[in-house]
Amino acid sequence: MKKFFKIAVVLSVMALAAGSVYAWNWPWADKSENKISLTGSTTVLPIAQKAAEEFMKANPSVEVSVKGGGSGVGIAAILDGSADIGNASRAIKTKEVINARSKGINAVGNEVAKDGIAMVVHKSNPVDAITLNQLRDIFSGKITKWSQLGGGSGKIVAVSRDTTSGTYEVFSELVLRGAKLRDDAIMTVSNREVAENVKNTEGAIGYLGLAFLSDEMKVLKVEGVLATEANVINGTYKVARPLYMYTNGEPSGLVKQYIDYVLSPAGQKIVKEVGYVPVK
Amino acid sequence: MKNVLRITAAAVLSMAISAGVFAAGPETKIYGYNWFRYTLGYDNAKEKTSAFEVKRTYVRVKTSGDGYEGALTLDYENTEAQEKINFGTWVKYAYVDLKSIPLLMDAGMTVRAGLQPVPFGTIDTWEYPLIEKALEDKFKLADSADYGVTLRGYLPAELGNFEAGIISGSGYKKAEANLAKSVVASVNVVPITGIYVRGSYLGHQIGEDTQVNGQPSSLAKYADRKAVVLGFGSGPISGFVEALESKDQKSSGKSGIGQFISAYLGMEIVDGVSAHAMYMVSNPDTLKVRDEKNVYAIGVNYDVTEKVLLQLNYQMEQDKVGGASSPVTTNLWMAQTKWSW
Repeated sequence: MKKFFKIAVVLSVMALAAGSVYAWNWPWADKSENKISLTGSTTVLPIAQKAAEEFMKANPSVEVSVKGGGSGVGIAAILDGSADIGNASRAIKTKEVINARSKGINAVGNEVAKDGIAMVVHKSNPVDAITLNQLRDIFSGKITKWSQLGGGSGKIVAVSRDTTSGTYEVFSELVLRGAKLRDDAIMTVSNREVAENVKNTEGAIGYLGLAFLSDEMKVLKVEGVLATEANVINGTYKVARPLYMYTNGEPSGLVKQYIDYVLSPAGQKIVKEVGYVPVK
Repeated sequence: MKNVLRITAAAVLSMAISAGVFAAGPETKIYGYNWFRYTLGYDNAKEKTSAFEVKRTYVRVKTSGDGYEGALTLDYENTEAQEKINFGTWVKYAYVDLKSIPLLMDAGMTVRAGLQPVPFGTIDTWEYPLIEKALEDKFKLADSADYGVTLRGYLPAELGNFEAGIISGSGYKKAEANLAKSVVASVNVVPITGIYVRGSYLGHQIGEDTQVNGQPSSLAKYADRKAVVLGFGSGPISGFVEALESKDQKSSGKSGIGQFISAYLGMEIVDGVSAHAMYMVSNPDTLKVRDEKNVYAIGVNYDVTEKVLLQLNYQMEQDKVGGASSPVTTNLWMAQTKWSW
């Protein structure tokens, strides 16, 4: 037993000593100073790609590579060091935090944009406001008539985005919250198609990104708050989520320069152009 | 039995693929790994092995929907290389994580039911940076997968996580040999970023009937395993030390205490190239001599592409260590490609 514990103690000390070797500089392990890589969320991808193009124009000696793969891929890339920035349209999960900390990684989420979803109905619909629970009941099929909400007569026509879209992802997470989407929902492939359906169908209700709102449909207040850029930014509008660029520790060097660019007025203009809400 | 298993696995896989193609709700992913290995082995300087093998193929299906995640892994293992080609098919994992159970959901806990990884020591966390298996797997101290139900959750303030549950105790390749079940529990704590400690317990209980298939059983009446893992990660370097103690009560009534240690160190040299080293010592019964075993392994990994990993390993195993006579030494040189798809 004594020998067993002696061996265990010696090996533990050796392991901790090896860990402290990281304090030394290993020049052959340095990554290129003129290259950064991003991977992850397909929702954040348009922001990252457009910002990368503009950033490289302003800094011709710098190379920025951007890939998709999903938020999980982005966060995993930070954990295994295969990317400098992991894009994510969700907060890092507890399991991922613990895994990261075990590996000595301090994953920091840098919020670069917000993704807001507006609830829209036909212009003639008398309903002005709705709650999250009512939305959930409508899109899960529990509420089927407008009269159940104090509206006019007529059947509710639910218009949804396809389940592979980021917009559906937000809607599912924040509105459906575990409920199954009703089988008779009209499935569409784009925000524009949602807008067309709602504009042309009297009993329709749908959801789309703020950038696709127009005077041809009516926007509902959700939990008493209207879907505006200001309300998404100040956090009072609930059907919205932050978009992140995750880094290992606080950003520094070229990574910081790139993220600072995304957060600059020029970068936030790109955020608006691709259909999202700026953080400020 | 094998044909029944193959047909069942094929049917389940087909259904899973169909669900992925046609279902609008759940998200389904199909992916896998394939290992192709060359081994050159010497026993006390005499060539004993020179073999190519498609060592293993995993086909994995993961599906997630509202309140659940399911996983199915088919394991095609070439178990008898150099004697014949035999791709034995096993269902390695087939479990569902239930995330929406009232009260448990509010506490962030999940129930995992089915054939699942056994949460003990390093057997479920070992990611094969070296070709060799984890300590528990190498010395057959625990099964890598077993049938059962476990509760999984997190410690407050994201300090760590835990798993606890009941499993059959016979592993995924054997029929359950007794009426009693086994218990398993692990707690992983990350007190500061870069350091973690995991404590695990695995307790087997075998009932009064020690007969298996009508024959007297040589299985232990009870078997306990306790393991502690101390690990670290810092930049390009990571590693751990594991100490494991086993207690097996033989049916003859004579108890044996076993002691096992493993130590691992890995380092990223440059982007895509890493070096790894491991040392394991096994003393399965402290009352016996010449039953100890030492294993030394070193290796280099190279990311040939994003999806293909090349591993080059040298491994020395010393058997029958202890006592006056020299140990039996086996030297293994291995090259392996791991292809992900």
